[in-house]
Amino acid sequence: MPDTYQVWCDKPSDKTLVEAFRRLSPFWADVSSIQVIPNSGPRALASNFFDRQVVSLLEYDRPDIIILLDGHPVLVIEITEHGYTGDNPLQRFARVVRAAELGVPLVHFTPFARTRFDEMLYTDSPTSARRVSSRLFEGFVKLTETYKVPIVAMDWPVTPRGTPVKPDLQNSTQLREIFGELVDYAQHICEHDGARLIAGENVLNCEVIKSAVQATKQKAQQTNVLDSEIRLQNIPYDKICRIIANPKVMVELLGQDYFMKGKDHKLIALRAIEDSLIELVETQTGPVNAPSNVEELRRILPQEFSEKPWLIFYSGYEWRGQPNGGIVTNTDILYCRTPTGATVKDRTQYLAVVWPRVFYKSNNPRRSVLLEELSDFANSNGPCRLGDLVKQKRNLRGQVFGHPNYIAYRTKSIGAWSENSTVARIYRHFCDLIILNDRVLLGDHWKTVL
Amino acid sequence: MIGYYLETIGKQFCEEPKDGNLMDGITETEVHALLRTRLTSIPNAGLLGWNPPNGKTYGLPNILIPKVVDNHRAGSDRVDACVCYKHLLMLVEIKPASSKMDDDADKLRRICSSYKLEGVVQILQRQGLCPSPSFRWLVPVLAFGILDSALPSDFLCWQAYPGLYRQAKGVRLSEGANDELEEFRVSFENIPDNLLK
Repeated sequence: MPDTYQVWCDKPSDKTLVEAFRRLSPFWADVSSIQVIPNSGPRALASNFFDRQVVSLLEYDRPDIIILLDGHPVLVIEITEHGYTGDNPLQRFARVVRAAELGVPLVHFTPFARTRFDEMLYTDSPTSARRVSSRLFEGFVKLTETYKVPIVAMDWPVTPRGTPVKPDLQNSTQLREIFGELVDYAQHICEHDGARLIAGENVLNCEVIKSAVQATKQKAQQTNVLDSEIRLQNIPYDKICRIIANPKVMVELLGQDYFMKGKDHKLIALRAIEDSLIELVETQTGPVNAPSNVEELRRILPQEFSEKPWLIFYSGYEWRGQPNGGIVTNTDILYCRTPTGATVKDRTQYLAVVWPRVFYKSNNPRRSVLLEELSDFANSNGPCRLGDLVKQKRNLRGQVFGHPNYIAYRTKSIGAWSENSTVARIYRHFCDLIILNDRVLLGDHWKTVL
Repeated sequence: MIGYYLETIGKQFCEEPKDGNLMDGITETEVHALLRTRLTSIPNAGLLGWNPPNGKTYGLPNILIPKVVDNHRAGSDRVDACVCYKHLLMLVEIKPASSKMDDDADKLRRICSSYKLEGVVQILQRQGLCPSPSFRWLVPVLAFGILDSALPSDFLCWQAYPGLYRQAKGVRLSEGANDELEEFRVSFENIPDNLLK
């Protein structure tokens, strides 16, 4: 009986692309079905008896393309034209981790270097291409070594202006010029290694795979021209407790200068920190009123927390899934796991996230006040504390006080936590502590200890 | 008939049951699919860019127009579609229903008044696109699936199904432009149903 290949896609546009691949080889032409995954979360899909193995791959986030051989996933493909440096390339990392955890190879297809739209739109002169942060490739290498499954990257070619080349999907020559390496690799994995993967064999000894893994390792060794804006710090547990007791400590930790340069929306986060007050702390037995002193805090949180160093990730972003979720998973895999650590319990150091622009309780009165202030300021430049911060920044930088950039009113600018969201699922799974504006949450793996 | 038709098209082009903009049975994704099929069937019409509801497209670039407020960069506007036909460059915003297009109309007004034809062409070229230097007219278009409101007077309006094309009274272009628009209208309204199916 011939092998049967099926493809599940995240979006209709992914499906359109895979359908175009049918022109490129008999293998792709013979794929028995190409379908779009219904637009529901993994739990809803599972309760509707959707393919169990596909649902498992969606646990953290939805990958773009999943190829199944006789009903078993044998390859995941991520395709994104958004390369860039800093936080953005990491935003799909949770999906990558999930594929690795389940032993499914993955290809991440993206421009390794491309120009930014927000720069090229303003000039006719050439703008410099931004290289994808090596942290992405380092993460792939770590996953390959940890889970013994190939997680590799491939380059999406760019135009002379530095934007990704987009083919006429009806033109096989153009399609092959851009996606040729990807479709050939996918075909090889399916035909040559698919059965071995299903049998649970290690396929890293395959020459084609070895070559792709080696190329990814080389990318991981590159030096980044621009350092990422991702804010990570190694700190002792005592300092974590001090931040919970007094969130303004976070400003000292980052330094006032961090907020006073770059985009103005950093000041929204600074304003949120100024008003932050932890009201409840989740413990292994449930939430309790936040104690006023560090000693009491240490007593109610898991005792193991004092046994290892901590890595803290400060997120100044508004309430949104990406890149937050991807950064956290990449940070966990690269910096917090033991060399072969396959689970979040295999830690060399604990991971905490500080996210001051998000409240646990959507109806917290302090959130309403901050939103009202933001609305007034964004819409009418009205006098307020946020306006004072913008003025202070302008004075420090010798600039005239004018219209603030990147400050707009949206309810998610000062967001509210939702346990059903992708980012909440990811944070709960990968972090040990999540410090919101009004509450401290415990990672799921600490709650299930009981 | 329309319900049956949309159901058929919906199954063919969109397997997502909803995309958050469901209006009386037609989604934004479905309107995009209908319109794209219609436009690609028009002789001499070309698509320079397309921005589907989920923002992801492999065959065509997304079109971005920089937004400047008080001489400061303030991000960029995405235009749903950029269509060329002879000397016409059409910027198109798409929604399930005409009543939901106020913000889109404001966006297109802002772009057209800020940049004019020359500025838009320059921005497209900066994105690596090479639109024909022979464009003479920039035309803003509102496109929708359901007509459920009065239409603004300063836009061309397209209804994806049935293929209705309306040139509002306030749209004043030169005689040459009107000739080309009339040719375009005839093609737009006469795409046979079997092509769309």
